[in-house]
Amino acid sequence: MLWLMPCVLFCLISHLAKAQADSASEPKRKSLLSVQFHIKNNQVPYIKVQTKIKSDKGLFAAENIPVSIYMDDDLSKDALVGQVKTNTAGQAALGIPASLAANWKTKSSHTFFAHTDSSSAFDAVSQEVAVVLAKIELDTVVDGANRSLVATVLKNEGESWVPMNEVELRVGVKRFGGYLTVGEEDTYTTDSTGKVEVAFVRENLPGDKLGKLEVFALVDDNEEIGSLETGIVVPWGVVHQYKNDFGERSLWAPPRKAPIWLLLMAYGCIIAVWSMIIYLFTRILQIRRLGKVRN
Amino acid sequence: MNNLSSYSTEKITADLYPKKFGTTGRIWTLGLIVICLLGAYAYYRQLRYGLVVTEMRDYVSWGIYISNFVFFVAISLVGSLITAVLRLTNVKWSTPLTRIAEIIAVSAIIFASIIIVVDMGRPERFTNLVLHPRIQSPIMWDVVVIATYFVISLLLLYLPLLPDLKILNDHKNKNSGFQNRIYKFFGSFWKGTPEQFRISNRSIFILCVSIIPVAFTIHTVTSWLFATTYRPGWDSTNFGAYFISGAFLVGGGAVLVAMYLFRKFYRLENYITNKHFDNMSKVVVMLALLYLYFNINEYLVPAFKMKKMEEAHLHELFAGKYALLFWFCIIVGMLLPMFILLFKKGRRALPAFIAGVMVVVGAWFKRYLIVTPTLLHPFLPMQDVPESYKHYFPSWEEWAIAMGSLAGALLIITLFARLFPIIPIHETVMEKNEEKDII
Repeated sequence: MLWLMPCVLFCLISHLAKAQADSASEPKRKSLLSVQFHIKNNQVPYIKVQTKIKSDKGLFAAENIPVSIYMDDDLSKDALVGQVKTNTAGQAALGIPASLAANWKTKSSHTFFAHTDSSSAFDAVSQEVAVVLAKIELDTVVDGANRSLVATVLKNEGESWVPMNEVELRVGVKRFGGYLTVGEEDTYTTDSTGKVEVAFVRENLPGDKLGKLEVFALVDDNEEIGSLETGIVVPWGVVHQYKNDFGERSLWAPPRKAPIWLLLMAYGCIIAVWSMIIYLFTRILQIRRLGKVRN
Repeated sequence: MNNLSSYSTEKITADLYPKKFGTTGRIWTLGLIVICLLGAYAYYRQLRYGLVVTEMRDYVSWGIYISNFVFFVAISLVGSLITAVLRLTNVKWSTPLTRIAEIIAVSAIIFASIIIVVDMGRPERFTNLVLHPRIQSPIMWDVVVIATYFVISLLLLYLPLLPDLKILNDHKNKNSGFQNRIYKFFGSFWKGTPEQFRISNRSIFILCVSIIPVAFTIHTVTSWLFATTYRPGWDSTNFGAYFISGAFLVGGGAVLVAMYLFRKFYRLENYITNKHFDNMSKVVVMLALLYLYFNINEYLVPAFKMKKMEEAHLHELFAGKYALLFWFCIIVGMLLPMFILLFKKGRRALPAFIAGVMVVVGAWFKRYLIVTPTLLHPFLPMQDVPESYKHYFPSWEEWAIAMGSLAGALLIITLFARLFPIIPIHETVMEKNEEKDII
């Protein structure tokens, strides 16, 4: 039966190696491309593309995929916004270049075309998105102790900006890693004047050194106007003062600032055990001495 | 022991006296030396080119080296179990096993210390632990407690060896010049006077008492290296007890293996008898049950709650790419040996040896499973890293170093058995005399 053990060991190690190899191998795939139009603070428009591979094992980001983006006129050299390569998350973003500024201003709606070429890593895929130029105006209303944010969504029609109703948007305060809603609801819908008013219900929210918070109104991937994000700074937070406790005794402090209880416990144990060891060495020396005396 | 009282002191001495290697012994030793040299060459490459020769990257930064380290620390606990616990509880049958257990403990702890330095990309920076000690760090506690346990284990190996050194010194014509020099250096002062015995016995008693808390500490602190790190699979308050129970089990398994091999190749059938296998097997069954209990705690409770962050880790173990290895460790490394050893026929020498091998092999892979899958499932997702960072399979250098360290530990045991009696001669003679007196 003993001869089985090396075989079992070999199988186990082979299985481990195979498990790693399997996870790295390429299964059957479907290439996916998505295009989104974004505009930040009503000033900086950009196009965001994302490439993904769908396979038997799930949905994975496709990295290092070149994507060509055109504005209004598909595959025309003059309409080329640019070419980008996706990152490890399969994403890439591209601003509108100055060469297309004149074209950008002449129309109130634009269509963006994105293409990928066929390669070993990704198939040839095309995708487009049509958007109407729009903006979000964000303002504050303070009435005694009551504070509100008013967001207005407007779209461009020729020379003028007209309100947009029935647009779903979020109003949030920027926190580490995302947005915290400022009101009671997650999203709000604009009325016939294109406005929403959201009461700021967050009390004692830590702000910066001056107590300032960044609040934003966001429209996420709207079919007509794309993704918009507008922010302002408001002094509604609590002043945050950083207290440096690095010099105090703690488990994370430098060695000389270790907690007293830890020093007592650790060195107490070390001294007790090593005293005993030293005592035992003296016993061995005593045994040696006794042996020499007998000689 | 079988009819020990009928044996003369001369026969016992002759039977247990260190013997020259036969052909098998030479081949075995040579094989171990070759594996050690291969490991040394791989380490030379690691020193020259850096840790890049390993497959350890940002996520799996503790790979096979740390698995091996935990394995060595675990197996070293057998010294305290057999020598200290059984000695203090006055269990007589363990006498022939004490030195086997102690040399396993010493060789394992030596290579635990070596492998942890190997894991460092810049071994010279180990001095920083001495020059700039940070007592808040569990790594510092580990270094202190390993050093302490090593010294205590060495003393516990050395002090009971003194009477045997006298016997070895008394038979100079049987020894080579090199052996005589060693025996003289370590034991020429031992005359066997009552006073020397009194001091020695008292010292051994103190060591037996003190090694138990130190042994518990060494493996608890090793478990804290993991448990104080907030990760799926390690975030447990149970880890200290879980590690200690696992350590005792692998130590027990290792003793069964060593008992069989020494008995077979040194022809010690009259000294390591079926009775010893029977008793030691029962101890291993008890330890396996204990470890099974902690395993159920360790896996069932998180699996019942199935917290989101633990889910991926547990799924990989139970049904994912580590499932075969995981169930091998549970079934072959724990349940099957326990099943074999539950039956009287299973507690004979050969089945007990096979069960011991299963326990030891299962335990080595169990340590691999404790370390690697957890590192592949951090709480924060892996982002913006090359694909290779998301997988781990040791490079040939890592395998060579790990196998070299295992071979090194076996080499120490082999060379020790060549130089010193692996079963205490003096204690065996004393027990024979006691048996005679009783008769």
